[in-house]
Amino acid sequence: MSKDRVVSVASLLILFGIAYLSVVIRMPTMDSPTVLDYDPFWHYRHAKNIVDNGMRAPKWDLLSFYPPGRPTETAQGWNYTMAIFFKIFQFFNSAVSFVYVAKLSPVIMVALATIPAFMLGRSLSNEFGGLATALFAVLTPTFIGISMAGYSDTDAAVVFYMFLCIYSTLLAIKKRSKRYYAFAIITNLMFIYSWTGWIVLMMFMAFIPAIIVFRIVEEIIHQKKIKLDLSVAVKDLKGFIMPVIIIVVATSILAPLLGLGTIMNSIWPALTFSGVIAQPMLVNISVAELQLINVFTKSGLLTVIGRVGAAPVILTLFGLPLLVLYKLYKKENINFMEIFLFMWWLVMFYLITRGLRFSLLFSCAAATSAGYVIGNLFNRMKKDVITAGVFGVIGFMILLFVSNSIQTSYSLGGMQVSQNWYDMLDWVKENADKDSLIATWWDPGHIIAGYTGFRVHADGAHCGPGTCIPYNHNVRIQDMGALMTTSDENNSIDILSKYKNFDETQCQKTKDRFGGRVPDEACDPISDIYLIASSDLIGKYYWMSYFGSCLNQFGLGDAEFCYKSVEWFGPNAVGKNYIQLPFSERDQYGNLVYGNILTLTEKDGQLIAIMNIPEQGIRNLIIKEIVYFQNGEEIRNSYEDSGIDGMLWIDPSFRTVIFMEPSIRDSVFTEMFFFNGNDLENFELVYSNPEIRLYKVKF
Amino acid sequence: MSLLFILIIVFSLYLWVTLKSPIVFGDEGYHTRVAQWVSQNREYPIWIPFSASLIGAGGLTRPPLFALLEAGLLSIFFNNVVILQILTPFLAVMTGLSTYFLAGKIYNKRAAFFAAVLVVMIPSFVTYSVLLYTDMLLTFFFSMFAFTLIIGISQDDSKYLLLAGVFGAFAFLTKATGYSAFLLLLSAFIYELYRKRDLKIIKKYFYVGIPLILIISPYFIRNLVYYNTPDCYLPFFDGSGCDKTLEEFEPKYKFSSRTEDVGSEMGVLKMGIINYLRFAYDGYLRFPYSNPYIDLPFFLPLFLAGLFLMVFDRSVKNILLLLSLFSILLLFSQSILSRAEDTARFMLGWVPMIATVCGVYLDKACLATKKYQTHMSVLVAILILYIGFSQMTAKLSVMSGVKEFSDQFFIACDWIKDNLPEDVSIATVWTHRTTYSAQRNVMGMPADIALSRDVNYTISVTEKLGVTHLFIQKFSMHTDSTMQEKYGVDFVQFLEDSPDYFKKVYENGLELQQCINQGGCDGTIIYEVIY
Repeated sequence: MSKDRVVSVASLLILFGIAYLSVVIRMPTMDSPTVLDYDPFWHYRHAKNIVDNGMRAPKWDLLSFYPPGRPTETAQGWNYTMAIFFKIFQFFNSAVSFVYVAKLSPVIMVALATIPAFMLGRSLSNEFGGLATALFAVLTPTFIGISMAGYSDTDAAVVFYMFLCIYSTLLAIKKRSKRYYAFAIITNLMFIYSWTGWIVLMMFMAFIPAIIVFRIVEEIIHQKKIKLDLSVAVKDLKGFIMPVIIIVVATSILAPLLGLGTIMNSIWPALTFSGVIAQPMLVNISVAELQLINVFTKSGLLTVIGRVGAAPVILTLFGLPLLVLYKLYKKENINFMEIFLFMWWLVMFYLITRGLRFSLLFSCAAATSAGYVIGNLFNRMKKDVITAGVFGVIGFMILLFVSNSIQTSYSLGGMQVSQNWYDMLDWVKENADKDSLIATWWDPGHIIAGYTGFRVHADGAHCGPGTCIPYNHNVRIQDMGALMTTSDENNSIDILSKYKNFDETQCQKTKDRFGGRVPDEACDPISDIYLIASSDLIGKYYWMSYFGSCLNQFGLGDAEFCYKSVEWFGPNAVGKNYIQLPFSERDQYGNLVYGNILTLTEKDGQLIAIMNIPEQGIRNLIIKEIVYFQNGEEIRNSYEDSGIDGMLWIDPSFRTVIFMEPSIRDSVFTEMFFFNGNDLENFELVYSNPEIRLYKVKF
Repeated sequence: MSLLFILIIVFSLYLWVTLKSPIVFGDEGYHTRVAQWVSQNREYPIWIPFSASLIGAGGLTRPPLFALLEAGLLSIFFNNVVILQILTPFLAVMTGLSTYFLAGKIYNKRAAFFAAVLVVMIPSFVTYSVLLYTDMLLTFFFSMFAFTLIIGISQDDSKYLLLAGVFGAFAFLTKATGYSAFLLLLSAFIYELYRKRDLKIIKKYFYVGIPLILIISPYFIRNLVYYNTPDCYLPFFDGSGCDKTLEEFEPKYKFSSRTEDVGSEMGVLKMGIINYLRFAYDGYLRFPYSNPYIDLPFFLPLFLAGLFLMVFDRSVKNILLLLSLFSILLLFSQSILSRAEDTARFMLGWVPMIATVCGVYLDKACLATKKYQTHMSVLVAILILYIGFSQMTAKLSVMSGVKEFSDQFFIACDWIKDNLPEDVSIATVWTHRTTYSAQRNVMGMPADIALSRDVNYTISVTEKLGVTHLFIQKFSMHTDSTMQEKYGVDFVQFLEDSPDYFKKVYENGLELQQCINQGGCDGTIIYEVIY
């Protein structure tokens, strides 16, 4: 067997090993009875709809943002992929369940992603570069977190198509023949269908001016004089521009013909979504994944390293520039691909500053760049003690990377829906009228709709003005925030009435916008509204009060002002928090101390809570109200001569206490979650477990 | 000479730990008790003589060399266990010395010096240098086997091949992981066959194979005679005869886990491969007074660099050394899901080869500096001594603490020795420690006793097993009652609430209720079971 053949066979075996590892470390969550987390339920539901509807996607989604629902999105590629996987599995085993295939789908896609990643890496350098690219591509922590078994979101497909599209487009540029153009166009169309993925074509277009600038700078360095010489750049571009134009134009013509929209459908939402050119959607302010970070600070860079992995980030940010500097020093021409890689990771690196969720896209660029650096090292370095040392360090970095990835997968059990949620949702399925609307804070909407098939007031699929008519996400998020945090339950009822009494005139607005896509059921009246108060909202109370602050401040009479004035929130909105203090120790007198600032002591057989924060001038001040449990019975004490107005709620196990300032204490949510709605007249507690209280709204 | 000086210091530090601490940690009690029994009775028993129940007993099926060595030493030194406390530190230093001589014969004295210094200071090696376990003897023999095999094959020296056969057999007879000697032998044979493409090489392997088979065959014969199988640990053999069953007993209860899944009790993957490697091999260059604290990995990149260097070179000796490390992968894949502590122990036999790979790289690095190589060698030696000594002393300090055990436990064991008849049968979670310290028949706490709260059932199980006493350590109480090596607080409360069946005959430390209220304490309780 020739040496090349041995290397090829060994590479294939190692690639298979990488794919196997990528699957194995994603399987710990496969035992979950349903798909995981929030967004995967959305794709699970839509894919199941496709299967149930004879492999045709319904035009209207009745369950999301009801009333009246919303148009089904055009990018159904991933949902169809899951549906096709199911059909294939069903061919071999007719008893297979759809949920099983939905849980497995992202893992299959990850395993497949190793192939285009390897092909891309190999085409840029050699087998070693290809293997390193594949390894970094599928084991990066940020990717593992959103592609575990059961995490049936689009991310696995995004990574797969990102590599496939870049590989196919580069191949078309290199080969310049019809079949390679066709291959590149088809893969890009599939990416667009799966994720509105015009991003690869946009990058190649942006690459045209980038290569000109780079070549000019390179010439200046080589010639050691400032001279505007475009000849090298033009020579480079000659072979590049025509293939790119062919692919972009053909894709741009075919995409709208296939109902996938144009490139503008991707550019405009991307820029508004990321806040580059317009005010972001109100909800984006609270989405952790969209928080802005400065990647040029130590903590920002460490966050990126934590998400993408130290090895690919270091090899990209330092290895690639060093390689380029070395070539400049040696007066070698900077490879066309090196410029592309530079631009790719720079663009993606910039995108992270607009939201951490873009670290996934950066990870693809980093994986390719890191693979390229490793491949080049194998090509360029002599087999001596220094090279062995360099590879020793890189080997250590790779081992560290794999180790962290495995540990990441072990720590992701928390994405499973809890048994308390399943129990509550089962109750809804068995007891609620099928025309009921389920409302809560927006994020569990996907789970509720996906698990029960009931209509939800809002969910995590952002529905902006122009899509959700008449009540878009900006309206609903304020409504939910206000109804949970107001102290007047009548306000809550007024807000919910708006959705209960959705009439034909309002429905007509939707029909005017979307015409025949709107089915008759979209305007069906709601029989009941159920409201969920769950423990996770204690931590999210800050955002509920933040988004409810305009309506709570100006009243429902001025609601239109709040709905239209998204810009009001930045400078004016205020969020409030429950202060949760864990048990820290017993003091010398045996009193329980929480968070080192609050002491529970006993006086005349009753508990008293004393707060001590000397740096804020709080010394031995008694909290006005205290609630605790003895033998399962709630005991509430009040101290009129107290120093701090508010309430301390003590968890029955005495492990945690929660302090509530007056406005939080008096809110509808507090009443619902902590006190079972005892003082509420319009909300009937119909189901309760330690994590959730479910109320039926009485209009 | 300088190596000898270093090894003497290392030996003294090891002894400082073993001589001042009791024989108590983990399996130490088991091994010592076996050795005592063999030494006193001049017989190697078929069944473990101090952990039997009325329904059966486990066979003494482990490879016997360590037990026989210990028993022999006890016989020579008048049953004084101090000789055993010296044994493993001595074996550890001998392993360092043999690494120096044999690796020096394969490579050169400088590489061998670096390797020998690294060996005796690698944390997992240090750990088992101060524990009375079989692992250090295995490491000694296995490394001697690997090195002599490499010399024998690469230098075509039949004398070393014969020695390899002897040491391979000794490794085999020391611990089940020593069976991988066969794997190394097989991979070396395949490599040679591939390289030379001549079946005449088989002759060379007779030098290794014949002494190996001759030495281990009596062990196989004994197993066949007493347990109806040549080995109780190899796959594909029926091991049903390895335990003696007098009466069938179907347990109703099962523990959920052994103990808490934290620290080195975690599996390697959960702990993180790098964290595991750091736990087992460390080798980080620390700058303790830097701010922020700097901690640079050194040994692992060094080892990987050494591997790359050997792959680049691909000489016979390098390939054979790589093959010896290759067999570790199989073992690693088998043990990767078990406790990190166990994985480190299973890998111990390969530490001298790992250190040799590092030593070879350091040697080449010195050589690369050409005319400054003497200065470079001194610098490297200082560096590895700095790293090695700092990690070794840190590990010894940890081991010194780990080997301490509850005073109240030993007081209770003395009480057992003085007050309970020799034929009692005690159930406890600290089985080996109790069997050695109390010199009585002891069995692990059965799930059907620890988890049942039906007093009639519990009593029936104790009677069936022949348990006469329950020995509870208050420091091992836990709110989770389902762990094998913990006593549920409710279980101890259950015993307290049934004084007609469980009579408290001894207690030390804080009173039980006070102990529970403050979340644990030192102390023990012994209950006599009233059938």
